[in-house]
Amino acid sequence: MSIAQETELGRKEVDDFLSARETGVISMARDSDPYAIPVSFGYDSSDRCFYLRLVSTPESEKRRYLASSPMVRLVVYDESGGEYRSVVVKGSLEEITREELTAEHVEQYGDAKRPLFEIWGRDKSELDVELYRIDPDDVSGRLVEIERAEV
Amino acid sequence: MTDEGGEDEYEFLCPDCGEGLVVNASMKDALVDRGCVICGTDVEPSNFTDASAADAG
Repeated sequence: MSIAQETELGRKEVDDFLSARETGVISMARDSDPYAIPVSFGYDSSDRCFYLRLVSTPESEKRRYLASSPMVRLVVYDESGGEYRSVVVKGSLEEITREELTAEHVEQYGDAKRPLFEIWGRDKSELDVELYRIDPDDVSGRLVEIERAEV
Repeated sequence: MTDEGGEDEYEFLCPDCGEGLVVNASMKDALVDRGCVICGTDVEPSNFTDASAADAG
């Protein structure tokens, strides 16, 4: 297997890619400890912001990371027919409190799917569901085309 | 009940996650259209009560 071509995705290609997907992996750090989890998200291409519902329990490792308002990277990727597309988003997690909610937020979270990877198995009364937004500092996308040798 | 700006207010109770929110008319419409902002469950107009009716008793 070898890389036949590697190109940077343009703005519209990145927007189309993100709008068609609903899951990714978000990474954050606290001191020198990394933490990464799969998340579902909604993407608004008009403002290039990401809307996430994050579920945690008060004593969870996730809660400790979220409480530190970390810088994050969100990675969304896909592989199809020898083509790899990936988008890397850099930014910080901004919590949207219940008091701040507007009709526009409700519309935006409507595009964020239910948290597929989250821990809804527990009684919901034990869970904290918080709403977050990423207003990215940087969004970059890449397409890698792979040439596979015939066997 | 109306807020200081004279806008109608409703009490929303999610039938699935139990989230309770006081919302205005535009947020009510958005919740019915797009689902619960917290858990994504479908929302019906019956999941709202008029805050003025709740205060009347």
